[in-house]
Amino acid sequence: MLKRFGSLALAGAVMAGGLLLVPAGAASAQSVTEASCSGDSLVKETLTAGSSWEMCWRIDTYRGLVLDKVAYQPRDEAAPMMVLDSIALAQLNVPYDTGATEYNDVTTYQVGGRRLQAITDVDCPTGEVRSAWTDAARGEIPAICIGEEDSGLAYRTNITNDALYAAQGSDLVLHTVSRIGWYEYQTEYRFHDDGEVSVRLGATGDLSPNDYTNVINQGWPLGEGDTDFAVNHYHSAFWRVDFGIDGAESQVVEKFDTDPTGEVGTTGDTGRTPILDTQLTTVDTEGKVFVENREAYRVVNPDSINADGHARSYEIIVDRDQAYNLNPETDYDIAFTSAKPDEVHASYNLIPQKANQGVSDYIADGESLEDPVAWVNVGFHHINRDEDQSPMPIHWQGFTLYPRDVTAQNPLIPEGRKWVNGDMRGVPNPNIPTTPPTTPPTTPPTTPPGTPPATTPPTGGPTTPPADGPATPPTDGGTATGTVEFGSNEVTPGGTQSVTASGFTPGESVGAVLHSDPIDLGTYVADENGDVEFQFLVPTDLPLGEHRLVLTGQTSAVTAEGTFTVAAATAASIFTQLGTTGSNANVLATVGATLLLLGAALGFAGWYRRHRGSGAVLA
Amino acid sequence: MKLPFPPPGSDAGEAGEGRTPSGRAPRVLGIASIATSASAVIVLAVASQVAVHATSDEPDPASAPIAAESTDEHAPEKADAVAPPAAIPAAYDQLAGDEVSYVRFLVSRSADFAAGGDLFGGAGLQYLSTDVADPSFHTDGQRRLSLLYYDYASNELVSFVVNVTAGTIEEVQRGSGSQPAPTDAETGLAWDLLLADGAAGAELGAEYAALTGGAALTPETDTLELSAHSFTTDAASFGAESCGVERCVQLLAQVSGGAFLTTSTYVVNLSTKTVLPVS
Repeated sequence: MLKRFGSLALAGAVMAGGLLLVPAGAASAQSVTEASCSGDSLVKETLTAGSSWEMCWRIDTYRGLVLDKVAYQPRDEAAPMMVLDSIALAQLNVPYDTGATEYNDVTTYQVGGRRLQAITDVDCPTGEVRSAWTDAARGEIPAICIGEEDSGLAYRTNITNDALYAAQGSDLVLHTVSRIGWYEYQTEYRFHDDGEVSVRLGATGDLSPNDYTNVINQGWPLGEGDTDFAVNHYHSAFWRVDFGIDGAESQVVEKFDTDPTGEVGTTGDTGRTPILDTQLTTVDTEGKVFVENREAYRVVNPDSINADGHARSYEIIVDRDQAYNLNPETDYDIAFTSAKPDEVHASYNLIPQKANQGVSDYIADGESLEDPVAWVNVGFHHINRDEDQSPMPIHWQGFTLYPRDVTAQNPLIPEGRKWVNGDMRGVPNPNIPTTPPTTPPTTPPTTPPGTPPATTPPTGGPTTPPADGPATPPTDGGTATGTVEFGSNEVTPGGTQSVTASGFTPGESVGAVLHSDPIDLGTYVADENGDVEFQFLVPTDLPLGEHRLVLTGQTSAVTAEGTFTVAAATAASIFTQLGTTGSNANVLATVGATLLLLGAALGFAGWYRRHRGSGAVLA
Repeated sequence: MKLPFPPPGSDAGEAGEGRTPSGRAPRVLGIASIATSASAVIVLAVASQVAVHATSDEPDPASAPIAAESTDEHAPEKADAVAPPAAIPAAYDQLAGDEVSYVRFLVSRSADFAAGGDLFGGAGLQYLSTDVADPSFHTDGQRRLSLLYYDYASNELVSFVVNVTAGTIEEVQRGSGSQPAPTDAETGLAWDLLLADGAAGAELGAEYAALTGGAALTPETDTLELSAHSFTTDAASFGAESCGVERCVQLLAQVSGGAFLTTSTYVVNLSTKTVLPVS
């Protein structure tokens, strides 16, 4: 069974990541982001899961927080991949329902500059505060909070008899706060460990003290009874998103449009499950789009191909039907234009050669899209509530940038699921021991004396645990009470290590993490004896040397740990590895050769006996 | 254009020693005695070359405030000389105070600046803002900043793209109809004009007195927090139809304790120095 797992696992590794084949040395070269900015302007963060983000940040007088050269490095990639050339707020339009007041905060008030608030402890309880020179009058102030925050469940799948594969996720979060009149806005970017980006604007502060009305249908009563109608209003936030997927020379905007064919399937519960047809069309020219039901847009780099041969892209996910579709400045969900240095603001542009222009003007010439910029408009109609009085609970609006085919599998995939790529129907789970008919599954194979076992490689090293005891003692003052045994004390990168651990509560989930760079090997279920058995592929980029495996019972808190060594592949060890983890063909060849030798020896013995016997007879 | 200092990359010692008292003045605001200033010159010269900021009482010129308005006495626009920044930031770095001071000085030496008019009727453009010019449209990695000024003589917005690395103005653009957020000087003048207006002054004075137990509201009242936004006329505004083409602002005046005075019924036209009731 070990051999079968090995062959599948190796095949899985090849399928899973051409990524793994990139030499680790490539990561040491300076990235595009690192070459673009320096010092406090450069953010480079590796999240708990092992993936990382890097970017340059600065404060623009009008737009506030601007992020440039935003790159994502999936956990198993050797180098960061550019995602965005730039992203920033491009306008914040706030019209009141009485028609009496309308603000355009980015251009007429400023979100950066003198409006940016100094970050305090309450703004940034866990992150790092960095400073920026925001405006002439104040000079440098604490301007931004940067930190890793929990994001909840990242994934969970409970595979019968294999493991509960589950993990918590985290985000790199950057945010600034601006005070604009009575409102305060939090500009926030969340970079998830799985490559997703959440872009949000939070509004708090106070409702307008000046905008009360006696027109009931234009406000909401905040005073006792039917008094003091605070005027309802819209916040339309616009972001300018300049894509640069994998340093693209050219990128393509594509529209997903899913429509019913008019035909239905007949096997569902209703007996009339519609048959849907998803068409992908290219958006070739500048223009505004409304994202209707079952529509989506993505920006693709056709020259950037993942390990499965699919072009890498990012999809723009917006809430539908939120746009303030009553003025040309705000009547779209997304507009696509070609990037231009003088098209900075979504409306009331402050660049003199396109003074006071906006997206409607930028798209008027219907230019073809080369270096696409998406202007994303997220509207929020605020019908006031009693609860929104001072201090107003923060309310959010935003959108999501969603990786599509950036990696060929989940970028945080646990080792035990890497063999799954595409349609695996008919392929047995290599993590499940195939029970030999005569050997109980929980008993390690014992070698009857005198019988050469077919599974023992001819030149292999010891495969039994150290003689000094089954348990490897904890390396520090931990409370390890369980035991760990490895299939081999020494393995090579890409090889398979098998693990048998005991001491857990029967039926509990046991998490396995490889140190010192924490690598999640998945979660396993202890059997009725409190034992856990599994195998894992040693990552090809795992540094050579001693590594510590820690298993933690999620109910009992029992930990068990042990060490093994990852050694460079030598000719002998490759042969060993082929013997233990190589393809069936190699094993068969080994077994075959052994059998041939055995057969020859038996043949010779028979011939000799026959001849001796006949000789005796003859004698 | 001829520069009083060679572009960065030339002898650093010369740049450090080239800081004259007038060019340095904005960075030593708040230091009272001349003796302190004189010793600070030496400290600054050393600090700017060896970048030992922590050991100096002198504020780091890259992080310290500078005069916010081109019309301020110690404005870089009024300096005889401003040295290039000690270190040129990378193309995508955030702003540093010394480079802002330097590019504002460079702009002030241009004919476009001198031909303009400021908020108070003087010669020279009114400074609005400095930002990083989008570096993605250049591939040479050089540092470029984009500055906005307002020309009260022609009611135009004027932009300059200055190459900090080369010490040159690369682009000047002018346009009308675009009104960026007002500066503190513009906000302050608008407030003075509003209080000086008979009707507006009386209404605001009465409201202020009611909120403060009878205190008088004058231009010297310093218990208010003022802010303002640029105002462009729209279909709902009657009385300020020229705002947008001309430079107008609407004020917010927050009294200590949080209340806002009712300022939304007025717009101040800074181009014509008039107070406009709007409805």
